[in-house]
Amino acid sequence: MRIFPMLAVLALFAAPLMAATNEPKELDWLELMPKDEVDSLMEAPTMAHEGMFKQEQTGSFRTIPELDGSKVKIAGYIVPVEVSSDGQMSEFFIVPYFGACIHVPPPPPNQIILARLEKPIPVTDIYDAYWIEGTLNVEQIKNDIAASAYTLTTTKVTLWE
Amino acid sequence: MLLQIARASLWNRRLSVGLTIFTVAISVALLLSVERLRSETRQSFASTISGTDLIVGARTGALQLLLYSVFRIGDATHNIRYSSYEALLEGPQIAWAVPLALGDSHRGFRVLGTTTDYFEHFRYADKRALTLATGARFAALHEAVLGADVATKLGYRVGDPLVIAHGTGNHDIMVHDDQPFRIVGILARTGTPVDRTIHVSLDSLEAIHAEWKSGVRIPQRAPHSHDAHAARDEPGAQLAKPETITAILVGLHNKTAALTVQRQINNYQGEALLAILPGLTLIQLWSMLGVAESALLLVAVLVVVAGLLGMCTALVTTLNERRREMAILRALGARPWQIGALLFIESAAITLAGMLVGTLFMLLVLAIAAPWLAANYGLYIDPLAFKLRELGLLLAILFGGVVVGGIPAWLAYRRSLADGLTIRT
Amino acid sequence: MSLLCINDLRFGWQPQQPVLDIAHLQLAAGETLFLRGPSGSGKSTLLNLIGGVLAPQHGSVSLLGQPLERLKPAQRDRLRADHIGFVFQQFNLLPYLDAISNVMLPCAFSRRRAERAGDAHAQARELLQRLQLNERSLAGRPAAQLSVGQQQRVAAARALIGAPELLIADEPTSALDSDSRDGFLTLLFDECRRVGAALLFVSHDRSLEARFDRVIDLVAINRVGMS
Repeated sequence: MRIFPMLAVLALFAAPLMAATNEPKELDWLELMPKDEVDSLMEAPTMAHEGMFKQEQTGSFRTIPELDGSKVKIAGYIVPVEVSSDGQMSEFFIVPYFGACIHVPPPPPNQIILARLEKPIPVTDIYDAYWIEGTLNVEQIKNDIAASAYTLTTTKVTLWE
Repeated sequence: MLLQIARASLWNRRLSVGLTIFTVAISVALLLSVERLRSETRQSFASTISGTDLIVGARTGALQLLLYSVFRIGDATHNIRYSSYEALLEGPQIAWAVPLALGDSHRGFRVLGTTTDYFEHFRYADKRALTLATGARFAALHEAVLGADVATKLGYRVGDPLVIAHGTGNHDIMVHDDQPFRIVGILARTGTPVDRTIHVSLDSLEAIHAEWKSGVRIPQRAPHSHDAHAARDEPGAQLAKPETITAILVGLHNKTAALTVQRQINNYQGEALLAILPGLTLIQLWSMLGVAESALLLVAVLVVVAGLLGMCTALVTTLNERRREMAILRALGARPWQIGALLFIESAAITLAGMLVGTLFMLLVLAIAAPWLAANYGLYIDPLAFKLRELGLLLAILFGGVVVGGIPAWLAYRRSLADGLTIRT
Repeated sequence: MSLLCINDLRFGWQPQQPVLDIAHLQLAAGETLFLRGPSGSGKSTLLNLIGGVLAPQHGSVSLLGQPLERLKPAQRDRLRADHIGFVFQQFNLLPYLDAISNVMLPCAFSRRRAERAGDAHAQARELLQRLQLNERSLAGRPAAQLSVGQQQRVAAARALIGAPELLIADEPTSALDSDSRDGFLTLLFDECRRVGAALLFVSHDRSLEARFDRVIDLVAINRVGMS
């Protein structure tokens, strides 16, 4: 008979936990970047010009491993990557700002999320911002043990209000 | 009974009824063709490239680069240096980079000079790879791999010879006939401009241009031609590296680096380069097309409206002549609504007949135009591929015909009520 | 009971401006009545009232005991289809149907007449033969190709198929030449008598009056226009 009160207590604890894990965490873009990188951005690093490829910003391929597997919701602009024959996209980039003018460097790789859709959706307006929900993952990059990048298994795309 | 009367009545006026059906048919054909072209164009442009992260070319315009490098439409104004390609290969993010050289043709089909990496990395439609229907990829100099349509249209088989012409005109005037090629493979059909392309190795293309350095062919320079001949006899012999190429297809280790790498290429001080994201540029192409498409569609819809109104006019003008007819029917006991229904049946019959004939017209026009569109614009249209949206349009036309047909029906109803058995003049 | 009984009938297109005002008019079954009425005398209106196309504003029009003024338009249409056949001055036929199809038309609109006709096609052919038309030469040809005399006789056949009780003829001979006129009338009378139909014949040609049982002058009985 004592099992019932125990179950009740468990349920009481479990409920907020479950709610927490089910509700997607609203992410700010800077949260994707390791803290020391955010700090070092304050000092403007000098770029080495070597051939075509300048010295890349240190650590722009660094991610925050704790975010791996978390359900998130982030606002950004959609850049289509894989577009199928009937105008549906199955892969797209989420970027924090649209149409970076050439005076400003483009977002570094840890400020870009490669989003994948199991069920392709019609191509969205590239000029509109969207809320994108899904499960964030950190994927290792081939050929470079130190480098990783964010991917998202997308569940929901809604227009940003 | 009404059906029989309607049928006899229409047959009796078959000349004007036929013209009316023809008018409606033309408008229906126009609308369906515009809609079909619209959706097939989208499809053609989307299926063409997949899995390529960046395309690099001379700094022309993003759409232009996409069009000539992928769709073989238009020409590059400027080539890029081979040394830039070599610099690109050193980038830590670069997984693979395939050089493309365009500018020659054979009997109207474009020639692409590239490496065997092209067959490895190029993807189309939904990440589909190129496969060979027969034969093998080029390995030695002066070997060519044909796209499926080239082989079919020109009737070539593996082993046949091929002479490449200079430039991308439709006719081969200045030819590299001192260095003929041999066909070693034919690709399976892709439904993309790959089918219309002749693929050769970059080195081969460089070899045949060895005598063309100043834009004019100078055959008397024996040492060069001797080198070329020697190279032909020795597979894998080293020639001078190509000096320029037209474009580069790039694949990255990690896609999210795309924007950074794009910026770096665009800022390269060694040469004015342009790097584009194919997916994004495709969308921009579509939105440009979208405006034209909407305009065309609007015009086509208005033409249909005009056609249906023409039908309405034709029926309404006959009402006066048919007042006697309607009075007779009234005398026989027909209700006014039955007389209206008679007119309604006639307009419905004309609309349906117009839709049927119009659909046939569309199939005919598309069947004739499809090969020409494929050859000249890389658009692959299947006349029989009916889409749901087209059926929706047909239903809308039918609905329009019904609504418009209500006008003479209503007028007939009112007139027969007013006239009764005898016509008051 | 009389076939047709009109009592105290008044009708006008504008209120307070009656076109017709008839105290009494009656027609017995099988009777032939000559109604003298030039155009403008309101005869078209009277025919429309008898045919049930118009409803009287005052008074009563009874057909086979049915008061038309109390019926709904659809019921009046049905009554007309079942019991009345019409022959007009000209253009009686649907020009794009052939003679036989024209004759069979009433059977499509009235079940009663279809039943009474039986095999409509056979009946139509028989009627055409009786009216001295070579049915075989007419078959398949649009009715517009026939001469006026032929058309009038086809119209008569159509009016008679299925044996309606009343045949209304509105100036049926005015378009015919004098030779055909008498012949047509004889045929018409014979056939009406055979099926037992009454004949209401409207015309201004007084030379025909002698054949009829009764003669009525519409102007005389129409109280509108009398001081």
